Amino acid sequence: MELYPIPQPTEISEREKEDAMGAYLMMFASAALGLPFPIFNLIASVIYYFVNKSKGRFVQFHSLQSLYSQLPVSILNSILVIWALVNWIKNHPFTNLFWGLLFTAIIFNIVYFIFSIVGAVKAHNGRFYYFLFFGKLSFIQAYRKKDAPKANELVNEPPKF
Amino acid sequence: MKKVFVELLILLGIGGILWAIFALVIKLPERPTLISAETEKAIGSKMYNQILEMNGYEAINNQIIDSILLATEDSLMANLPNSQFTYNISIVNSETVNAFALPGGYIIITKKMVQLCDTPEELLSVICHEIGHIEKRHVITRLVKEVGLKLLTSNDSYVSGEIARQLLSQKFNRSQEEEADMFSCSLMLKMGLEPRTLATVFRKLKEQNSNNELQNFELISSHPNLDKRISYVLAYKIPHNFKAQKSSLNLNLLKEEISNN
Repeated sequence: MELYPIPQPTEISEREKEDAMGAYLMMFASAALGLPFPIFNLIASVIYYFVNKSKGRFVQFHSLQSLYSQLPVSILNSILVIWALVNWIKNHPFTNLFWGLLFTAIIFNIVYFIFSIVGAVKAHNGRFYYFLFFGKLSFIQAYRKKDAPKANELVNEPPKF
Repeated sequence: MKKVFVELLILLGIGGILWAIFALVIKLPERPTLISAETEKAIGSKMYNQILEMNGYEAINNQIIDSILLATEDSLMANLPNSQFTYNISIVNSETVNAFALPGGYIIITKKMVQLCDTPEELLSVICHEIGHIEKRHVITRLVKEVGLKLLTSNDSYVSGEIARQLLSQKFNRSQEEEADMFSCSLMLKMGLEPRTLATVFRKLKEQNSNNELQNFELISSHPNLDKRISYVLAYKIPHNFKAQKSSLNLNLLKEEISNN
């Protein structure tokens, strides 16, 4: 896999740093809407990504990382909201499986929150910060050379001097 | 790239393990309500007197009845170790067949209901059904939904009188009735009694109902029809080696005492 060169903090403009930081702070702006309907956070992140993806690979990486890392938390929160509503309306019991998932979601939300804060600070300083799984996935997507030859493709090379 | 998906598996694994641990360790109520058990008991106590007054019921008691009911309550409580409530069973002088649960552990059974039962197990199966509604918090949950928390905890006697009337017209839905029926079966089994006795009571109520005597009886007036309920109670699975015992409740003496009162 061929990658574009990774920029150093001094090579990144202040504007790019601020936009990259903004990707993580999006969640605060959409938190009020996101509480009853967690899917709003996700929609806000998707919009932010498409608006900012042309502003450079550094911004693209941080926006993607913020968007991807929000996916499991938003899905988990949405499942819990729907589950609770169904239980409440149909008067079904709140089983241990529900409470177990609720506490798991709380832990995931806290971890996501802490990582997002660290990610925002690092982005503001022009640094990269890789979350588990989502960090690598976002980096590949933002920095992979799409027109690079594939591994099994024949490539012409100049003679070795 | 392979490493990326290994990280995804790690993440999913952490999530799954956390879910399993929390599901096993955390014990929270199945029916969380905005009302604590203590507040529910206070509401129930207030309603108990109002309902007796509204219907012109009088609790039938003498030393013998009280001691029989107390022994019954004790044996029920011994099989409900995690209950938040202390059960208080009353028999009232009414000539209609009825039994109902009030918030906080109050159960009212009419004289005619007791007389309808031929065995102590039949009476206990009805009491266990009502306990099911209280334990599963059907009564208080429905009241909170219909009346609202603020009015429910109001000290205004006019308001609480209206709420008590609402409670009497309250009908449980299909799943709540089924849950209370199954609760009755499981509690009867725990007590070593025939868990399917409720089916006998339903059959008797069905016979009575054909005479249109039981229009407003909570136990049968809600959705699931009696035939269906009889069949699922009869289908209740009991352990292979289970041998039903006889209840120590002296029903004949109880009937005799309430008739003399």
